[in-house]
Amino acid sequence: MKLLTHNLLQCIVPACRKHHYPLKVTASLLNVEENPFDAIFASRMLERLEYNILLEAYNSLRQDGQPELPPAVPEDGASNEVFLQSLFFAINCLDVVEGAMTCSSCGRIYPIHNSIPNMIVRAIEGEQPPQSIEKEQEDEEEEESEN
Amino acid sequence: MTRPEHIAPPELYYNEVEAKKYTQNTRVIHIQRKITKRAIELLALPKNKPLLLLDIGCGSGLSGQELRKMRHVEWIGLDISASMLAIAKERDVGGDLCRSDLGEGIPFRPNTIDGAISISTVQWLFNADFKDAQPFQRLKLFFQTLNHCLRRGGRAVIQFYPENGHQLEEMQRCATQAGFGGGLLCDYPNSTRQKKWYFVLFAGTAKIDPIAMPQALMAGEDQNDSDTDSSDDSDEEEEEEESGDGMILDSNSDDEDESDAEGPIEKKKTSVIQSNVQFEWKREKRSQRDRRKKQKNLKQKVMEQKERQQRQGKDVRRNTKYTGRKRKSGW
Repeated sequence: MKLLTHNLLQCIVPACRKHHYPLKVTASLLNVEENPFDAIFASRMLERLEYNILLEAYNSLRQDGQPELPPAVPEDGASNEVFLQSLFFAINCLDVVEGAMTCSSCGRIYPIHNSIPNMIVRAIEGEQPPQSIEKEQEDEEEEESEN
Repeated sequence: MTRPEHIAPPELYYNEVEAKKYTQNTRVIHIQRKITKRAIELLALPKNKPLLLLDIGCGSGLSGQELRKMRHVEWIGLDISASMLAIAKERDVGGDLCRSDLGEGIPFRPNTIDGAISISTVQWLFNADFKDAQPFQRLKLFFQTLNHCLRRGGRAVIQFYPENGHQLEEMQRCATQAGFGGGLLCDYPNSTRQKKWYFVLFAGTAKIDPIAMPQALMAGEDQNDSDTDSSDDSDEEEEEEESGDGMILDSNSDDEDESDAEGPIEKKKTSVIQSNVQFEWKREKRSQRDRRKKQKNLKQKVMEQKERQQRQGKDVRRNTKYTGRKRKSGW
């Protein structure tokens, strides 16, 4: 999953309708794809990105030697070649292969496997449903009270 | 013909075996590619602009390969089948993939996507595949979230195989309720096998002129185009040549108008679904109405009741001139 997709995704748990993003992303395996730089595409995508979310996600995943993103969009962001290059790298080259996304308001965990995020909320037959943090906490509490 | 959606839910039906079969079948590939080309044509994308598209029900990325050919276009594929997505990943189809159940809503922020295509997917939503599933609720949520995530003026082209008129009607209703403009388009309406239904929906412009709807293709216009000829290699090649030079980007509604004026090709404009399908619906309603008995007046009603009770052997008063008359109003 690329960070462009991550930036556009939101939590779809019905109870979590007000603050359904950002999703906090964690990765155990990253991949860097070499896509040809497309300045027009990057500048066009800039307007629909939540830059702060992108910055946070990218900084948490960034490794040494990879381009840095400035803390805010430069004023000439749409034409600044250096900025667009690092932006393009962040949104379109960095690929989260294994990891998870956590909704910051409801705690739902969306696992990422083989660089495909699983956004299905309902439990699917024959598959282990990913649990949310709250649920796990509740379970622990229940266990404690039983003891 | 059996419908796969009657056999099992999509996440189970498209297991590894079925997904592999689907991806290797040349006939399926040919049809998918053709439908996708038509869908992209109907999207009427602005030329050479960077776009972000959505492929709803991307499966193993057959339709994504067509999207990839366009410049500056990135696409994101959604599907529920893990096996199909795994194959798409293996084949490196160029788009970012995401596993999602459409009935739960499309998991994208509002106002982020430029356009969406969906090739033979939405009919799966009509099934109640799990406990507590409410197909119409799911359908409604699908259209609502799709409308939200599309940018203003963005289009969604949804090709699907409806089972009956009611499904069409229901989908039309859901789409309109969600705030979409546009309507239904039927290519080759006179052919059973080639007939294809497309929803062409406009986001954010609900009151769009119906004239802006693209035109449907009619049978007899291009014999090479038929599904049944897909086994003929020569035909395929011809088609490729025809569409080789950037047909996808050049074709928008204006071009269609031009070709309409030039050639002897007969293209018939299908109006919005309402005129089409409501006709059937009306007829059905009328026959229902005819079946219902007419409202009788009081006297007839009473006489009928007395006769019935007499037949049943009950004690019934004899009929007089006062039977079944209204009482005089009081003082």
